[in-house]
Amino acid sequence: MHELSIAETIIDNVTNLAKSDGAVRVKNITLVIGPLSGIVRDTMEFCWPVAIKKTFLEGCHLIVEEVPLILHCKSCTQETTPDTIIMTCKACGSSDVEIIKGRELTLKNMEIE
Amino acid sequence: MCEDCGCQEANEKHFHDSSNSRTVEIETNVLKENNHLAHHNHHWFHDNNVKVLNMMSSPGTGKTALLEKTINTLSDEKKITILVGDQQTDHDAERLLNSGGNVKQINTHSSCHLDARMISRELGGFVSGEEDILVIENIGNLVCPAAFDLGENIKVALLSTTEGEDKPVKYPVLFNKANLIIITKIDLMPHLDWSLEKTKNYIRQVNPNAKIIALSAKSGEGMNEWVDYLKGL
Repeated sequence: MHELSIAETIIDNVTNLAKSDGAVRVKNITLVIGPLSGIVRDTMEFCWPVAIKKTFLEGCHLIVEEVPLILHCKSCTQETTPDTIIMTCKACGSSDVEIIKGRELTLKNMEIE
Repeated sequence: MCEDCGCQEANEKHFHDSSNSRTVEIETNVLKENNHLAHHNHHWFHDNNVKVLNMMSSPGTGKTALLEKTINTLSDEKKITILVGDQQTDHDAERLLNSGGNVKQINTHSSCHLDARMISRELGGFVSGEEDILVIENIGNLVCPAAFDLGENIKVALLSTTEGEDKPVKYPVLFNKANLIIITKIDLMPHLDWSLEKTKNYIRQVNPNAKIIALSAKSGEGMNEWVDYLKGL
């Protein structure tokens, strides 16, 4: 359940950014997560309303965008997304792969007033 | 009623008039502050020539038992300091102190992982920079510690023979990030329906390149490979 401490980190970051931008309110923020980020979307969405209570972000909607795991295969050069989190090329079965996408834990944007 | 503003639009996905609002692109890593501190830690370790291992596993894998044996075997040759993370108690630190180790307990209380700030507080103080090896025994947890870099050189994931062969594919994030994977309690193999080959295959599915060491701190089997690994850092 480190999602709560992640939520608190997001609140601190966004509060600083929004205030320095002269905002009076943050309407929503967009968070991008990959399957290797270690963040569970449901848990994040569950703890968000609790975490923002009585903070500058109270009432702020959390929008979560999930990006897939994408592997580049050094054997067949294809980029594929495995069905589960395994480091195997879906096209040729090789495990000589590198991770192109999937580790994201990114604060993408905020909508402020 | 809308929870956010008190208006009567019951649709939870409704948005209010956005004429006064604007979208600001941010595009930064949420953990950038932790990663920044981890980067500083890493430089400090490099400047002081300290090799650092971050050991992560579920509770009860045998991290502390392995470290007790490691101190006994290696303390004449290498100066080792250990930071032990637990939510509560200093039981693990006491066990390691009794083995002759230079040990400090970090209690995280409500937190389920160690972060880079908790480590940076110890640098130049308890972790003097004179040690050859710093071992960070992370909190027993296969999920949360994986997200937080501490500035270590080597991430070590441990799993024991009693945990089931497929643990690596159940918790792929942590096992994928590990540079070294240690399989513990192999002295129990004759008593269990557990296959070393199957376990290694599951590890390879999520991490084709990690070094794997199978050992028993109790019987001593495989300990030489681990000790040689530490000597070679």
